[in-house]
Amino acid sequence: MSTVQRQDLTIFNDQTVLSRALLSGTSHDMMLVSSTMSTQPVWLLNALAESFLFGKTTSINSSSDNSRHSHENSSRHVVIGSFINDSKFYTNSLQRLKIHSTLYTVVDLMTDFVVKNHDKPRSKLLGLLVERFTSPEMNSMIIIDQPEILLSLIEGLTCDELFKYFISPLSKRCNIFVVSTSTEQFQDHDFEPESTEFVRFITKCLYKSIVQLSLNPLETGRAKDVTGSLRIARGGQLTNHLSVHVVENEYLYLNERESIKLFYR
Amino acid sequence: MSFRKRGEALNGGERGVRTLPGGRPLVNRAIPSAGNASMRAPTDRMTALNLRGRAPPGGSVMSDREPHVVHPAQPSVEQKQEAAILNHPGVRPSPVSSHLVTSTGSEDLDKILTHMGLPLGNSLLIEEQSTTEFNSILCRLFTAQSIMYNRAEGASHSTGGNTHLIALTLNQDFAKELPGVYKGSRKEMKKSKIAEEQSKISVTNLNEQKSTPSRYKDLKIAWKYKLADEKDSKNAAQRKETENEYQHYTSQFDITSRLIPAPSSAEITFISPVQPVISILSQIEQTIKKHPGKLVRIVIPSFLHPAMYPPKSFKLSSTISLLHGLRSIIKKNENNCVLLATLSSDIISNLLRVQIENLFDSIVNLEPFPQEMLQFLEAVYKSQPNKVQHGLIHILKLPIFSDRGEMRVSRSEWAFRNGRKRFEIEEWSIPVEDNDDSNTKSSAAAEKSHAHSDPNQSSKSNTKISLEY
Repeated sequence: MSTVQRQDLTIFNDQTVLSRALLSGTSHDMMLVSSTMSTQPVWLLNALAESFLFGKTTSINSSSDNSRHSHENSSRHVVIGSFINDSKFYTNSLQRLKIHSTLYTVVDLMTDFVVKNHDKPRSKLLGLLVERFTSPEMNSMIIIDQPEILLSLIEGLTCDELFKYFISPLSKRCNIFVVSTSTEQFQDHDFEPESTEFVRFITKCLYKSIVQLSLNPLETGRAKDVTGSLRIARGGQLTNHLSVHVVENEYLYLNERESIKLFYR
Repeated sequence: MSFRKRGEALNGGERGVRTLPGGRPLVNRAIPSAGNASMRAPTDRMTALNLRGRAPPGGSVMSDREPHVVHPAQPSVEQKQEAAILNHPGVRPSPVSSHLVTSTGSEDLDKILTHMGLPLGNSLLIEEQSTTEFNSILCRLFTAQSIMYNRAEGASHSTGGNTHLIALTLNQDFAKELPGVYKGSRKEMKKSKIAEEQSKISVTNLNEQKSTPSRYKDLKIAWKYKLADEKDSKNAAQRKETENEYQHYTSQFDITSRLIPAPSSAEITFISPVQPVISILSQIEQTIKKHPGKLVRIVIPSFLHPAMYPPKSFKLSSTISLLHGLRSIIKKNENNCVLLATLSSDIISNLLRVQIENLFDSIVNLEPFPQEMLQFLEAVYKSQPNKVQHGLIHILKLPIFSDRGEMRVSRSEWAFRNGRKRFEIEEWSIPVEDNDDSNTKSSAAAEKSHAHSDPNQSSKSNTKISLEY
């Protein structure tokens, strides 16, 4: 029996995950990673960070740790902020890839968020959160994990306010801005009046991003040899200012014991 | 020459405690000066090595007089707390990862979580569809297990035990409704008594143990069966060893009995959920700080139950703020803290449910069978009523694996059955009706249909039935 051929992850037409063209100008581009409860995106966010720092992703399709980045250095910097996981979660996962700790910063937006911020006005609070991301404007990437949770945590916060005071200022602080969001509530396709702001948030992210990477489980349920599908689709933002374009594609992937394998669908 | 009577025990029968005639103990009667120095050193070392936090007997009496000497190799407070958790009877390593786990109180639930328990620093949400209350059983088992840890052998009672439970509920009687430990049926009790007697060292018992099984004497047994016997006994011995190692890890409870004595305020702290989120979170944090080195298990029974929670609690900002704060506390105290919450998923909106699920590390969903299905199962298992399952249990998220991005959702793979002594979870398969039954049923149905078509035959069939009766 022949083994299924593994595929490298490519997003742009120059056969790269993150093209150098994204860093050549002064543009600020946004990418959207959507996931569900059963297909969490940590491995994909790590792969994007790795690709941004070193121009290659060794965490995907590699079986040994030898090829990882223990001695590699980079002039670039990644900042990861999460509302759902603490800093230890991302630090551990990046340490496993042997990425040197000077190349990334993890902003813990979860620990004591409610206790410290319950009495602050909305715009001020969002401004303070933006200030915690101290990255150089050039050669940097910001990954923000589940910012939509702010719509639940801050009473009365609207999608427009979230974009105006948080998402847009952050996206201007880096070259590549990655928003990771959960689409679990849209799986059933029955929207309730309260979910309007969440729907608007996702829609706005789709329009503002140049590419959408969506992780979904198989529609047929759990399988032993496939975790889910990774679909790459163009976002609403034009890529005329770039010399490359997004190649739409779909992969099947297997995430097992911290190794990721990609296959063509 | 001694004037003491022959049968009289020295020290009044008590080791190390000398009493005055009035019954008062002799305090601080240690040998002074030089003698103390030689005795002191091993005592200090023993205190340092004592992982479960138990003070050696008499240690406190001597320390009153001694100058406080800090040894360079003495473990710090954090190390001591860590060691206390490592030696906790309710903590063991996960067989699938390096994480420390604690039991949920249900052995089968521990198994389907794949870690043989809930990893420390993680949370579990038990959802239930429809109006049944199976989740409350699991919640009580979790609570009762916490109390059992506290009362287990080896728990240091001088520091108030090794486990503390925080219950976020208005129901103060919750502690009185906990199930007691299952002691076995009458037959089992008798058997255990006999086994206990046999395990005692006596000449007859030793002779019996050494002797070969009677069937070896009775007939010449094939060599391969003998080997199988030996292999089985070896396996049993290994299993027994593992059981002995974690003998207090999971207790078996009898839900028809009550835990006696009921948990005291030293074992359980009640926090009202009907107060501002900030004060709930600060109270929980204070309680955890009050119990350093202890395993802290937080339980939220019937979260968002309309009888307990006011309408404003159902607001997204209120619920999510509370759970986000709790998640933060659990992750901050990841070495000694776990959370279990139960929720009836039918009473909340889809959006709120998804947002709540997002904040838990593991989720299981109970789907009780409808009445028709139960009737069908009862008919199938007519001769074995104990085999009738009560519903399906779906796994939506597994601790650690789901966070890594592994797809661990399994729907309709497991079924549960709530019994007096166990909440059983087993692999689900649709039972098949016996052919005989179906044949008789079909023949009966056929007869009935014939009866409708041919009135002459109806009298015959009726006669047949009457004869059968």
